Amino acid sequence: MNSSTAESERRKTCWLLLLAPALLTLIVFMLIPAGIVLRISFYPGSTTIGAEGYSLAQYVKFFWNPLHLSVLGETVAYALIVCLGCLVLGFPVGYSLARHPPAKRRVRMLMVIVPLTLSLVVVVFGWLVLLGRQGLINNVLVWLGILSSPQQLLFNRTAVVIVLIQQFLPFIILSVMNVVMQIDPFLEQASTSLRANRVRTFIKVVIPLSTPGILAGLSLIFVMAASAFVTPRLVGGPRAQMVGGFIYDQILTTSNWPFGAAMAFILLAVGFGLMAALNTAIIRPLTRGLHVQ
Amino acid sequence: MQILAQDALASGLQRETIVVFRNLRKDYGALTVVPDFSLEIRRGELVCLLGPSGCGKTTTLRMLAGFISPTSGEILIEGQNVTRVPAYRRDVGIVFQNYALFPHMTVAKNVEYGLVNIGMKRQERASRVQDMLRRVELQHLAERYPRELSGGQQQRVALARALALQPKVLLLDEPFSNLDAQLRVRLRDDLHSLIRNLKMTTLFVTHDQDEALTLADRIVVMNKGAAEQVGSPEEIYDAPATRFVAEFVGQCSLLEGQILDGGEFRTDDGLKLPAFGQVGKATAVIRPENVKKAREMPGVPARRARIETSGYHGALTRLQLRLGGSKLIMDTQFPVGQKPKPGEQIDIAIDPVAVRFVPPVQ
Amino acid sequence: MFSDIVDRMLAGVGKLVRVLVYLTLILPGVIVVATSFTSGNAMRFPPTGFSLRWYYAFWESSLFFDSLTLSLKLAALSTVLSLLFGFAAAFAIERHKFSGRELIRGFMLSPLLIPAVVLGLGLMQLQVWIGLSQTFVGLLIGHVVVTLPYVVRTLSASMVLLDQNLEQAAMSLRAKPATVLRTITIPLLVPGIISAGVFAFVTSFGNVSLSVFLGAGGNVTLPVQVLAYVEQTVDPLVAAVSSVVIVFTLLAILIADRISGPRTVI
Repeated sequence: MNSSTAESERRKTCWLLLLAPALLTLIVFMLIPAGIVLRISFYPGSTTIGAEGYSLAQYVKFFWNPLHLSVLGETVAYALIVCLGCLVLGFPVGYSLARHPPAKRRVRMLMVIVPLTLSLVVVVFGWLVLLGRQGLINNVLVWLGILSSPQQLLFNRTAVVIVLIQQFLPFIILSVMNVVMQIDPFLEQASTSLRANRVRTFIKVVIPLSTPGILAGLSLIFVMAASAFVTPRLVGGPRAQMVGGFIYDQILTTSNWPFGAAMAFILLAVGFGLMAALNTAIIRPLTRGLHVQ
Repeated sequence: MQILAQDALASGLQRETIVVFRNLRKDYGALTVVPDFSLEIRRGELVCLLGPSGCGKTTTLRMLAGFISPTSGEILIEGQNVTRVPAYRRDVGIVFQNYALFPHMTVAKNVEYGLVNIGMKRQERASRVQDMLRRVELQHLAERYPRELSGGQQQRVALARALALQPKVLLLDEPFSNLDAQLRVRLRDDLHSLIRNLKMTTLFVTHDQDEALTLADRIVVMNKGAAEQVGSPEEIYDAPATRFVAEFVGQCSLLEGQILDGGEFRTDDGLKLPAFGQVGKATAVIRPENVKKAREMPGVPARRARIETSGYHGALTRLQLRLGGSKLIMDTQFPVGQKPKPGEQIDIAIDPVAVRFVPPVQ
Repeated sequence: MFSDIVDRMLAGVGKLVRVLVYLTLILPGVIVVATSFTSGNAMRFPPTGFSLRWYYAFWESSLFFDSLTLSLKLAALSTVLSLLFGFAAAFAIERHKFSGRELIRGFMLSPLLIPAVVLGLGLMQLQVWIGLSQTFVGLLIGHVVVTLPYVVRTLSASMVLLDQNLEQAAMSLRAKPATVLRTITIPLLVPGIISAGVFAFVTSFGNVSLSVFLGAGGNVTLPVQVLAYVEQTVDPLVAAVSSVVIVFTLLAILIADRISGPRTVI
């Protein structure tokens, strides 16, 4: 018995050693930095150099300014619209991918994965070219007679939303695909053979079974969309500001790290709050409902 | 004379114990998979662990291989306590249910793998690999990859790979369950003669009683992690020690009743059989082939039974009979066209010598 | 029947949406590559003429070319590091059934959920304190944090699929644990390792959100350089640079797809 506990101790150390590099990297360079951001946000002044003490000054500054609040509200609205757009456009694609035979899926999968892995700046630059005054969209619209002369399609809210949706579409497509692939196609066939048409089958079988997985994908998109700053900076212009860009300016332009930190934390709280709300309001009741049925 | 001497030598060798399981126990948290298992395996013996799935037979096998370490108890191989010896120093060969051939190596490389690990010289390795492949008749496939082989060929590669190291014990984990029925019987015979020729000490695990009965020198019938009975195939089949063994190995009819003073067994509805053994409640075990047509057993009182179903099993016909309140299974033969139909009556006799009595259900 | 018409209409709409989505996904990249060959000075589509002058300009521009070298070096190093760390971690998670295993797994994936602004600011402050501010090592650390989740996820998935009997068979054939790892486990995980590595590489190579915080000073990666340039002006030089990025990404993904199949990339 004694030798066996000694051996299991030794093995435990061995496994811990294997975990250590990754675990330490994430603790020291992710968890601690996140803690640091929280700490900085409670500094009273507008700089971290030589700062000490705790104060709510940054948070007061944020919530007492209607401009900041409207930017936050707008950011949340953007993120929600982006989620909705991704869902509406991405669901059919992910669903059909899941039901495709693997051999035929290949090229389509590449069309989803390459934009996902392609550098964000390159994608956004592509949109700048597409939507520019002499870009493809303007030329097509003029050629079709919809526009009489090329218009400024960039630097407005719609452009930001469109580009964000395109950026996050691969995420939702892959989430939907993964979830739907786990739904037994026989379940759907069974439902169809029971004389339920496609719409009913969809509502009764596919949606309840896939909702939890898809909402997980959507909440990831919400967090990423709400904190986006590259896209709003490049295609949004001054009229379409988002919190991410605001924070970026505070950190890199104004160098007001405490205020940037407070805003970053508010952003984080909004994201996680929404995720928690989604979880309790939709995912839990839904999965519970599944067990009851 | 010489033959006799060889036999004596062989049986003398057989007495030497190679593997000992002593009070082996395995717990997974609160779940006890093997409560207390003891067994000795002698040199050259082919022992089978037989039991339903989840009876702990595979866990026992894996403890011997060294993949699972027991919670308590000991395992000895050739007298050496290997309980805490890692798998790679145990000298145990194993053939897995799915063969576990290395998919990225050719057949020859698979067989050579263990030889490289023990540091054998290249030339010696090559000749050993050739030799092993010849034994399993696969020389012509040496450069193929496992996925290019049939199931039977894969099994032979796995066997050659395990045997190349000349292990002290060979372990086979459900070796035939991945093969179709016809191939299974042929490969079983091949494997049997190969292991016999090599005088390999072998422990194998199966849930298939036919496999156990045809291959093993000794069968360990396992139930809930414990050995219910250990014995030769004949002992297991003809003289089951418990109701579980009787039901799990082969077909049988079970009659509940009492053994009375004066050597008589009487069922609750009055069927009488001669009996010996402890007075009291008992269950009679009757194999289908020991229920005979009355005229085949002249000295035994005949009884009239009603045929409930009649099934055709090739050479034999299997009848389900009702005799008073009891049900009996009978395997017998009928001339062409004279097979009785359900509802008809038949006169039968139960071979009294072949009836066994086991403890009743609690 | 009415429901049949609805059914068919829905199928039609679905098809339209799919075409639209695939088009939207690839259009930005295609446009960039197409315009990079223009002979004119302005970004317009369709482009005017055909020339390689902007690629030549890229070749001549030390600004972009140094960034490209830096980005490649950074991506290669962070790939190697996160493969090493991630392989060890995934191995421990998948092979050792310790309590809190799911918690650790979740923690390994959590960098995906932390906004880049938060991670960026936190790392900047930490690196100021430990003297790694605006260094290559500082940048590298950030990239390892961002690429690690992908590596752990991909390798975990392929380890789950690896038949453990193979490793046990090797062990019963007298292979010591290190030999098993070298001759059986790692060779059989090669497709998963390549997928994980490629994904880590392209993620690091393309990263802009974190690099923009950590890579100031002398360590400007290619995406950050492009961002800075595009904020000033949009010209075909950026199209040529972007095309190079697209080609690198596409090549990497195609290699992974060739070796491991597209399902394993994500």
